[in-house]
Amino acid sequence: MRSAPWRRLRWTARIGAGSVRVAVRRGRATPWQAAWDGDPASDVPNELARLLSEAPEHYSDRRLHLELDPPVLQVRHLANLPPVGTGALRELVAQQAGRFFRHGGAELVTDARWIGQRRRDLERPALAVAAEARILSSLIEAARAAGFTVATVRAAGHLEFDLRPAALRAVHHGQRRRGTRRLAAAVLAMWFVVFAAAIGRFLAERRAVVRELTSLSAPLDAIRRARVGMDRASVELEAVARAERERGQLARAVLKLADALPDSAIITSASVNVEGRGTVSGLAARPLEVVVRLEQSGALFRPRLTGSPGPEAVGGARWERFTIASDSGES
Amino acid sequence: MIARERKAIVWGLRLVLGAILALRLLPWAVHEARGALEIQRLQRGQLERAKAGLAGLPALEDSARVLRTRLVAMAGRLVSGSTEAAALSDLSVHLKSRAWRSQARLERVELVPDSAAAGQLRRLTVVASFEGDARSIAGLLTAFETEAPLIVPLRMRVVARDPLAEIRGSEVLEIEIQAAAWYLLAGK
Repeated sequence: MRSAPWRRLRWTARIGAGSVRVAVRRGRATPWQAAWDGDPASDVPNELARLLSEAPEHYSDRRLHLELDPPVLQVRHLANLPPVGTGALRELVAQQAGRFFRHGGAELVTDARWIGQRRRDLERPALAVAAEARILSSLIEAARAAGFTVATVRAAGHLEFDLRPAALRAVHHGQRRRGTRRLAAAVLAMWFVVFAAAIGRFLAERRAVVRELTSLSAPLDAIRRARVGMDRASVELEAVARAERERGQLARAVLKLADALPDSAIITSASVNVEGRGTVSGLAARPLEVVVRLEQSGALFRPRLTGSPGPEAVGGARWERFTIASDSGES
Repeated sequence: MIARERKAIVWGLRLVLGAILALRLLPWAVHEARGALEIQRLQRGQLERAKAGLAGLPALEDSARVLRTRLVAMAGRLVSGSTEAAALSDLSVHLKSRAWRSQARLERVELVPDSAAAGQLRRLTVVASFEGDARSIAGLLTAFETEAPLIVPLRMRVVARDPLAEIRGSEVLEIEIQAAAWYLLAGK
């Protein structure tokens, strides 16, 4: 099967009784593999180092996953354990490793899990695995000598079990912590760059706006002044136009008044404004007739006789002296 | 100092710093940022309006051209003089000239207080007293209606010295006309 280059490489080394099988997998493909089968008493770490050193160097991702088979791996089904959590179970098995596994005085690396459904009774079994820390360390060292770093140490067939020695766990923990810090720093740096870019862009925009406003201020002032001048000129033109419209009003009012007065009346004084308000004084045979004519013609605004007309003989004829004024006319 | 105590101190310091950051620095920064954004929004609006104003410049120039033409035409309708006294003097001359052409005699011109103004134009109102006859009234009113500069008669009062003189054919009328004219005040 052809390997897919975009898939991630996975190096595995399966350690069994006098056997070491090293393979590199990419997806379902296995581009390279090597195996050694020999005497169970042989030096397995050395053989692992040898096989790994023969691995093609163009596979750059050199993280190795160790999978252990018996007899390096010991597997036990445990029963009658107290119903504790998985973490406590691990600690319990680690503390009593000598009771559950053969060890010959050597230090063991263990892991354990409950199997089956959780129950309140003590019948729930647990599966525990263990390997000698010394062997694991020598395998890890051999891989390191061949230019590999060990990523996981697991039980073959039970890959959920973690058999990394404490030193390797500490190394991985440190790497993970450094990775987390690096990631946090990168995120912070990214946010810093984003903020800096946003602030920079904002300041640049503001500078541009201010610069543009400054450059436009002189023409704008000129336009503002021109508008003020134009408004003033419009007001002036309107005033003159209004005066132009009003200039003939008095002449029309006077003409109307002259037309309305009867020929029989003698006018001694008259006063009229552009609105047709005013007073007319004079002599007439029948002053009321004058009032009626002025009212009918509209020559004087709401004319009324003021005072009482008095008889007077003028030129041998009998006249009455009158004064007619607008309702709010001038005196 | 044991590790637990050190851890407690470190966490306490982190909490204090976090509180300062969250309760003081962050609100301040948000407030400042909002203020700056608001100022920029206002400046942008100002700029938009300024550009719109500049875009309307051709129309403004057209309006100015039309106004200029109308202002030039308006100039002939004003009495000359850039002060009240000078304008009054010019107005008196025009009134006298119109009276002469109307076979009337200008007796006096009295200034009436008037505060009317339009832009830089000021209105001058006077009461002019003439002596004439009925034809003088017609002549004066015609002159006011047609001649330049523009003098607007507002009120007229006519008194016959001898009411019966008309019958005898020798009437003398005292004519009093309140009139207004506009003059351009010296530039401010």
